[in-house]
Amino acid sequence: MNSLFPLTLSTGAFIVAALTLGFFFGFWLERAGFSSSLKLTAQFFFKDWGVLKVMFSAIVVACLGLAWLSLLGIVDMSQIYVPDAYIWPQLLGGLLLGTGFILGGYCPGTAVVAGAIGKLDALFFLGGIFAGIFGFAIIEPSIHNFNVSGALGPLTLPQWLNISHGAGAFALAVIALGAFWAAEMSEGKWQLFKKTYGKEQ
Amino acid sequence: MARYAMVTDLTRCVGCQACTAACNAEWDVPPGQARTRVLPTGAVGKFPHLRSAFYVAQCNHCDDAPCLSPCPSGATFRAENGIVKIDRNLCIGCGFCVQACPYEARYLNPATKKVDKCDFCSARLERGRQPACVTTCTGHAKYFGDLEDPGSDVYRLVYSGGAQRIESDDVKVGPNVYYAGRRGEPELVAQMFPPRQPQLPSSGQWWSKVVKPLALAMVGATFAGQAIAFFTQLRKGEGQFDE
Amino acid sequence: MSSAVQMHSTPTGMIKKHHVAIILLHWFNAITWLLELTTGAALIQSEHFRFAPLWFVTMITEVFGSRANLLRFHIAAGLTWITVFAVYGIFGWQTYFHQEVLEREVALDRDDFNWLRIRLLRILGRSNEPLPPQGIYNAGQKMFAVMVYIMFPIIMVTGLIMAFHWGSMTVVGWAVVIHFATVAVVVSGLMVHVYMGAVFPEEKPAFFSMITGMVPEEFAYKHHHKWWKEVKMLEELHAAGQPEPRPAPAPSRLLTALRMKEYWPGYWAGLGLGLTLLATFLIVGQGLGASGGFTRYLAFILSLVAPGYASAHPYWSNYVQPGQPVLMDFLVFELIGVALGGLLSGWLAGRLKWTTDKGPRISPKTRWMLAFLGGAISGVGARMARGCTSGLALSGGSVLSAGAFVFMLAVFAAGFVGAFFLRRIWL
Repeated sequence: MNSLFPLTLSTGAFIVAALTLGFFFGFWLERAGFSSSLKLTAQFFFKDWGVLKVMFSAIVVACLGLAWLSLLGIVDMSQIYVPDAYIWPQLLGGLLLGTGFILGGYCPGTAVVAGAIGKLDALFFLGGIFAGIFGFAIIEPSIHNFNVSGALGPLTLPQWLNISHGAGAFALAVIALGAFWAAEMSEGKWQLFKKTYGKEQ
Repeated sequence: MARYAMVTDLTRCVGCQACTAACNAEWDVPPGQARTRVLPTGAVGKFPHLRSAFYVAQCNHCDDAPCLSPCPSGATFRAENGIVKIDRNLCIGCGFCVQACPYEARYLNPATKKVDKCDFCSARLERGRQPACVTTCTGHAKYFGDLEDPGSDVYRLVYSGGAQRIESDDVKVGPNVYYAGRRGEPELVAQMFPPRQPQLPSSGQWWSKVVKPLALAMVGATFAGQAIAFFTQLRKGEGQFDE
Repeated sequence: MSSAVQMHSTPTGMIKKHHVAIILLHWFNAITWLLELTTGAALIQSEHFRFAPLWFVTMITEVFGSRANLLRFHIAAGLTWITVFAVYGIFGWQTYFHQEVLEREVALDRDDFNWLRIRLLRILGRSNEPLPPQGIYNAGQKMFAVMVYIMFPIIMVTGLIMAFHWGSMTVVGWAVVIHFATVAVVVSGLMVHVYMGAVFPEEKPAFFSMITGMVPEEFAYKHHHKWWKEVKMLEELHAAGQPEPRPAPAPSRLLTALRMKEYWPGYWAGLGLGLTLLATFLIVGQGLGASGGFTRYLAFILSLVAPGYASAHPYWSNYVQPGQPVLMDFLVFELIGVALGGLLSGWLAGRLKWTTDKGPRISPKTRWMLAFLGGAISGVGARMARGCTSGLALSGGSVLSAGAFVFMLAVFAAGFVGAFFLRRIWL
């Protein structure tokens, strides 16, 4: 018998699923404070490690979840989309996005939630994104050779290191725990859940 | 004990559907459903080498029936004479068996909301009569009998007459309805109407793969937690707990 | 034990806890559950789903004579159970629903959460903290009640669907699964409930109160202190001939967390985000994202205003193709959800406001210009990398994509280096 997941959805169910999943995505981003460019950029000044904490805990949860479910035969990993690796454009693209992040204060996803709650700077950032994408499309033909360089297909780190997917997921979890520990040390506090949990009425 | 089987001689079948009509009348089959159907293959091949046949489909009472295990309550069962039957007092109408059947022989009766299918006219057999489709067949194409009786027509046709089962390379579940034919009709039918893979609907898959293991784990974890609590309580003595 | 408590001497005597109707309902429920669990376990015969051993299934079937009789009994007992609860529900609604069920049986307050934590540690022998005072039902009993009030209706409805074949085969098929799952949840709780009532020494008076309806006042004083105070206060007011005041309901903890001004801690938000991401992979087979959606929006606009340009352009023609709707993409609809989810979260926390986040040394106009510039650079970067922090780093990272980690390192590197040079913008 085939694996249960991923599901095959009708068009209507697909749209409802996309809206619902996006809703939760936006909700969690806003709850984490990613609707504030001040909170986001504080990461790069070592003042607030929220970006790293949220991102890595989310990656670890999803990664371990997928690994377990695939071990139990509930999800078929070959049907899960893995982005193609284009090492050089992804390296340069990452540097550009990081620069845009510290200049503009947001990344594309967080700008949407920030715009949704009325942050004017986020709306300008969103306008910038459209301009940037439009500009990229204009120059893409002339840099096309670079833009497809370092193509490795849907390569994963465990495949590259020649270890099993589960071992890779486990290693990532261990590294993330180390990063959390470093983050807590950097913030100078060991009160794991108390610091930002807010005033209790 | 008897081992009932049916043989349909497809060379003699004229596609009149008298068997379907007789069965529907005998068992009050609702409109749009049938326990036995006559499906034409249509013309197959290139002119002038055209071939065609009628597939007389019904429940095959398979030796290794895939409809038995998905039935949660055990309403589908095999009687001692080899006939696969449904206990309608036990059927809840979940339809797991309908999707499991490789020959699409089962349907949900909209009137009773329970699953029905051919049972070789068990009620008629008990009165010493042949199934309704056999007695009514205008071309005398159908034979019914006991495979353990060497004198029966079905014994002769199955063991020396070349009657064969409709199976595919993937699905071999031992059907007990055999098909005979002098001009390769059974092969043509097997090619045009191959049995499909048995399926379990997603609710059934969730149940067996996710819900049942989770439920057992949850109850087991609760039990383990209580055992720990109980032994801690024994070790510390009851006085410690009363403030 | 607090000093306020010690001012009173420990009381003696008995006080009434349960009405006789509740006692009868409790034991009726207990007997029905025993019978239904036994027959239900025996009814599942299929090798795919069976969990009781085969000898048990055979034995119970023989006790009832046939499997059809077994099913008939299970349905009859279930219908009786539903009827009794319906009668109690209809006739008890006015009197009990608000005062008893909502305020006393299911509302967990701060004391209750602390009680649960300390209780667990004490059972494991890891704490000697005093337990916070409890109402007429302690936090464990309340949790059980919450679960029961959620699960019982589901069990009843799915049972009726199976018994009377309401709906299509798909509906009945799912009803079987849900019936089984909800019963399993209740059974886990029931095990704790029975253990506490029958084995746990401290709760013995609670067990006997389910027979006599009375508990020793000393037990109420120690284990249900808030209730004991309430009873005493009412007695005093009654003696003074005054009307009974209604206690103010405790605010819900979830609502408090949703309404609080502060952001939620990173790990909790990360857990929620991770589960959402996992669900996305399971449901649609790909991850969450953002910049790909923007590209589709732009491609859609281009296909409207300049269809010839879009379909001939080497980049846009990837998106604009005849016969394929440009907007039929996961990210297109997901982004609408993202905005709505952010809006709801911000509204709940009172963060909806037209403002500009900026460092103290720059004007809003400078900030807007920088934001636009940053957005443009991000847009180029995201398209070059074929994803942004969401689509590539987060979603790709979860499937351990090699490109995602290259990208992630580059983003953080550029961010940290850029922060040094651009600190005037933010600090």
